Amino acid sequence: MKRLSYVLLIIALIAVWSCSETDPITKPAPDTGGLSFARFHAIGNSMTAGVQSGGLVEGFQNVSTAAMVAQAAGASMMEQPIVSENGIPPLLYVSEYSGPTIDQLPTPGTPTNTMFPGIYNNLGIPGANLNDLLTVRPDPAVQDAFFLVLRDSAAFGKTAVDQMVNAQPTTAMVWVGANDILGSATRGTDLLMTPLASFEADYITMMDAIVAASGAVVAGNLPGIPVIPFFTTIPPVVVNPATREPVLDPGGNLIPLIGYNQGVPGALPLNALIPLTATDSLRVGTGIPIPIGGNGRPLPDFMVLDPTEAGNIQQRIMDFNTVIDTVCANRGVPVANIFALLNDVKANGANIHGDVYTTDYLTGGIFSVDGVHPSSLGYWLAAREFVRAMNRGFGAAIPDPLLPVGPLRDPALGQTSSNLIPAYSISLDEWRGLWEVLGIEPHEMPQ
Amino acid sequence: MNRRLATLALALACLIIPAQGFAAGFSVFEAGSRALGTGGAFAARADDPSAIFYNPAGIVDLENWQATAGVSLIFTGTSFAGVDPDPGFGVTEKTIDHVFTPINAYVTWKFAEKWAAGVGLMNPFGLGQTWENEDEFTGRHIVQEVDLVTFNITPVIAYRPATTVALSFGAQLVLGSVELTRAQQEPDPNGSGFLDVGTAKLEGSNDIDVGWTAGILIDATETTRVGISYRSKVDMKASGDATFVQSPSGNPAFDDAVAALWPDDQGVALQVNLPSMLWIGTMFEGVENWKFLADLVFFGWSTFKTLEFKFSDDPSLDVVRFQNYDNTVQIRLGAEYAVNEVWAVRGGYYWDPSPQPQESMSPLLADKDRHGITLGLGYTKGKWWVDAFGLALISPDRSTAGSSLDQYNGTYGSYGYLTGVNVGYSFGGGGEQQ
Repeated sequence: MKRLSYVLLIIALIAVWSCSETDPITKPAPDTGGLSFARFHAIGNSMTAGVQSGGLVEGFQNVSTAAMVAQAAGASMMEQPIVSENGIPPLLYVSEYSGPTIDQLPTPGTPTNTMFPGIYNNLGIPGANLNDLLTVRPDPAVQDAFFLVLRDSAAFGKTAVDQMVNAQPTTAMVWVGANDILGSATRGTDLLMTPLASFEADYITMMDAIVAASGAVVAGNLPGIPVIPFFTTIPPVVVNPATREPVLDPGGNLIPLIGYNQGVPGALPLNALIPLTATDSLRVGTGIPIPIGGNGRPLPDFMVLDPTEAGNIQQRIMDFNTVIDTVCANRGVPVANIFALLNDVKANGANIHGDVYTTDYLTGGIFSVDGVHPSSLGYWLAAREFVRAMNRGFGAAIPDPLLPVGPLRDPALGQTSSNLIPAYSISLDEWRGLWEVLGIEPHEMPQ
Repeated sequence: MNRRLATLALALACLIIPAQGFAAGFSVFEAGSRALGTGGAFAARADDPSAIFYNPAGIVDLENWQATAGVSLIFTGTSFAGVDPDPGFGVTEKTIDHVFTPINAYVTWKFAEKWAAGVGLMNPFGLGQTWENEDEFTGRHIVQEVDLVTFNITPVIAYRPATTVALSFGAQLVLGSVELTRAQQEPDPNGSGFLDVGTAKLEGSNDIDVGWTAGILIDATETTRVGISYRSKVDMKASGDATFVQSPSGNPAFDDAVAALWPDDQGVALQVNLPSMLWIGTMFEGVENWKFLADLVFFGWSTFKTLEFKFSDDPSLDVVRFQNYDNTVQIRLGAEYAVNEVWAVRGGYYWDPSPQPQESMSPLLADKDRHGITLGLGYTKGKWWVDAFGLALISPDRSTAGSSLDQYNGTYGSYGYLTGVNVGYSFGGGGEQQ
């Protein structure tokens, strides 16, 4: 009886031990709801291409929005205009965290996938606005971003939209329009935006061509400027560099920076936006009233979005988004609501990898060093939104893309300050006291 | 609130969840080898000093002085297979195989005709685990290592007011310690990915926290006994030290910035609500040489709703983490056959459903429903007796199904094999224990 018990115990032991490890789970073929990803092509600008920190580089292209959508959907190929380190243009880099100081890596990278004998799956062209995608042809003599992405107009198609059409995508991704806004906004003006009517006409032309050539199409809309740290990091008031608190006048009021409001120099309203380009001027006292140590000169007009300009820009973004919604709805194209996504991240943060990330510049984790382009985490949120839009629109059940935890690039790159090229030193520490790596109470824009 | 430090604290709070137990949640039911032989069903039997844990009313029938002490060996491990988006398909992880040794020791004294007193020591909640390759483990930002130990000292007094009824009442004195380690990760602002910037370690212990216990045994018929017993919940209030150790991330400039804001070592206080337990058991002795036992054990896990963490220097680190456990009922069945005066053989089965909601599953504790199959042997010779048991746990793998609060999703598996022995001795009087 005793022996029997031992035998039974040993059998039980072996039975349990033998199933003591879980097998790896292979990614199942996603339920694409009838969508085919045999030929997945994406068109757009730098945000489709995967620009981070001011440049295009392999480590970041591998986690471009288009590449992450392709990964989630199990696309059979994802050929991109890969660029080696240090990127094209060389990436911006935080070289000193206590300033912080933003430098640029030296020595641009080179394209490494130029021999791919076909149309790239990622036709995101950094810097392109909507009309450019319809009209600009690659020019070997210029060697710009259009040439990098489109290469041979004779072989693949004259323009980006032509190449999309020629690729006959089984599924197409369209995320365009940001440069129709940002080129103007980053210059501190509302005057350089694409007019609504021409945007609408071009969007219809582009979408009709792509829809006709594609099995299915998903589109994305545009984020608002109040979520972009390039515009929201510097408050329009004077901050004491020692206490890192806003300086108050004897009456207990905030002290506005000096700048142009609708062409008139003076104290800026508390809802003016100051782009990061103003940092060097602020550092030498421009925009700061004389009684508290500034030189009293107004910030140049192109370094301020006054409330009227900011309002016009945000209105144009919303108008473009209405165009995108309407044109897409009429053509059975689901839209990834990037506008709402980033508004939500701005308001509530994004819970990723056991932490909460925000739209705060450098510390927030969602935007890259240039303050305009998302980081890998930000692009992952966008890619997830595109996937979810396809799931809604086509009854698919594609899983979320793999989170880009890294390492994506060598963290040691750019650490030697001697090989860096000064870009701009952002004296946030002095004028705002923003930077604390482990996070501080973010200064919200005064309403 | 300081976001980074807050999330650090949040993760520390995760750490306090005691890891992989041998019973569902972080309960440890191995407090007596005789009970475990019959699937843990013992509340109506309660015929050796380990009754102090399972149903203290039983000690009133134990003659003179009696004592038993035992140890269990628990071989256990957890494994994990990840899915997208985090940590990704194809990822597998496992814990270092551990052997845990909960102990038990009891003394009873029948000091008057209808009275007895006793005291017991056992480890009714706890456990721990360490993930393999903890510096590369994909869940290291949640936990690398966790250990929770509780000691429960239970003094009781029992009284038999009528020939068919025995009652008992007593106290629980709970002492515990906890140790937790996790990696702190930050995303590289320059975009290379998440960098490991250090570790956070928490060590704490409590002063004595107190609960109570009570039991009743009723001889319902000549052959049927009913036992009901209760151990109250105990809110274990621990305090100790949080230690933050920075480590090189691979980017010295970033490390300098991290160092400037790295939290100071400081005190931390937390509370773990150990659940109540209610036994309702029966024993049937209507077949010669056989005992049949069946217990229901109700665990009041719903008290384990949150874990609250309070740091001594920086209140902005304080955090409340939701656990939202559900109450559970275990079903425990067993039988014993007396081969002769000396030997008894036992077998049992139990069903032990998990109190943990799917979204709370994490590398700290990924709980599952369990089937337990037990075998036992009893040996009695003169004043000595020995009980031994073996127990195999069978747990179906359990998936987080994308619901993980830590956003660390996949499927957890585990194994558990337990064995234990108790040695007992009946002092004085010449009577054998029974």
